[in-house]
Amino acid sequence: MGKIAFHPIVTAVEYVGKLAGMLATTLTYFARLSVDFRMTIFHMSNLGVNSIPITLLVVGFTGMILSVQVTEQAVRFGTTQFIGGGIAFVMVRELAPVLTAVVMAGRVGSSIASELGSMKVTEQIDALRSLAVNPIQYLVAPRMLALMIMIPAVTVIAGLTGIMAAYMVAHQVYGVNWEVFYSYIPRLVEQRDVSAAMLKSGLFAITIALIGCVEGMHTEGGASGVGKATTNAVVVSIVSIFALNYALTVLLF
Amino acid sequence: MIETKDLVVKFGSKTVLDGVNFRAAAGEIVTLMGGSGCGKSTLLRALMKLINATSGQIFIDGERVDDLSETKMNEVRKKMGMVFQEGALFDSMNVRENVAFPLRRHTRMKEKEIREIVRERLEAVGLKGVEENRPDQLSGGMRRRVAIARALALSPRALLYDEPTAGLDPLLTATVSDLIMRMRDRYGTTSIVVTHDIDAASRISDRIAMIHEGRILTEGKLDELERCGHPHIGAFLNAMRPGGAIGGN
Repeated sequence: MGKIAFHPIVTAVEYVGKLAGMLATTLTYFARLSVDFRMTIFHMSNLGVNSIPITLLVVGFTGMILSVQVTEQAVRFGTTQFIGGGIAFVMVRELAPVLTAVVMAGRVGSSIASELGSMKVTEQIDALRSLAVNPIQYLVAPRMLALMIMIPAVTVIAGLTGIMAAYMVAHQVYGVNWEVFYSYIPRLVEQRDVSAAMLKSGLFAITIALIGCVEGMHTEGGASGVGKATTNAVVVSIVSIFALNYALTVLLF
Repeated sequence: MIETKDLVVKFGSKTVLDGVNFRAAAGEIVTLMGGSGCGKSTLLRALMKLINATSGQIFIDGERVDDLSETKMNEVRKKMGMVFQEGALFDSMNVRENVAFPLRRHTRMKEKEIREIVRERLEAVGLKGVEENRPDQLSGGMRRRVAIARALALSPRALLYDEPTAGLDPLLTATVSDLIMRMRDRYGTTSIVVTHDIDAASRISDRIAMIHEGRILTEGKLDELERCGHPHIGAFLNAMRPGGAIGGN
């Protein structure tokens, strides 16, 4: 009875242990500069650059929706000068990092988990080890480094896109000009907001890479196991991103 | 060359290897036979330290390896090669990249030298003109031969084969069996082969080790096993023979 009651806790502790173990080993390779940089560049393109269009679409539309909601009220109350600053403030601090990370978790986290999961069930990861290659060094470290570089970079592009999309709606629909829209952005968005957003993005990148890799490399049970690992990677990553975001928001702002 | 002493491997509460004492001398071909789930593949994986032994000792070239760290074990693995059941070729790479992979990772050879070794290894396993093919464009037999070529890339002193003939037709089975003997003759590799194929085992083996419930029951040539009088071995060999319950016609 006690064993059954404690089972989810034991599973959760084991899972955190796997994440911590893989993170520690990966960081060791980073510290030794023992990362395959050719593979890292390949993954920066494959996982990062190829994710830019969908991320920009999601964050761009979010900026437009935000603009419709905010601008209408601002025009009504005669506070249009705050539109740009308000939207940029929310976009930089929360929306750009979180939405980019969520899109990346869906697109990249699932891709990592399914690729490594397929390798696991077809014994390719054992084959790597038998060829004296450490799978964490060869498979995990380049992916994590690629995401640590690309997710903050995509977040910057996404944030700018979201703000510009919001301005486009404010200008086209409500006639707000650029000077008015821009006027409060430098006053409301400070350097530390941008730095905090980059820190958040970097930590989200580690979370997505780590969960995708752990799910992939512990896949069991053939094709259905790969499907399960892929789903788990997305679900666990997204929940972790929101939980981590809350903690970071409390700590950083 | 390869030796285990009282090797025990447990998965949770299940004991898969229960005190295995095994030895393969340099240049010898030893076949591991036994029913499904008896621990043959687990023994191969334990020798490569792909799984950790619960207790007991493993020696490769006289060096104890069961307590080595992963980094130190990688140095030992460079002296060994393993051929997996379905080949386990990297599906993101073509045949040339698969065979070249260990050379690129562990040597400072120039691309020209690597290409020459890849060509030579593929020729040794009877493959030509497939360098640019992806693993999914190869037949089962070709995949296994590429896997053997990849395992041979670093000129290992020992090769471990996990059911290299499973699912192959008789002609391909004979081809792969010949290949195992040729690899020993050409490179002097010690070979440990897991198989259910009694004909292939009797043809290629210097010695057959029968495993049952995680223990080695007996070792010897096929006729010695047949004469040993152990009821389980007799039943197994009869079942595996052509016309037997599993051996087919």
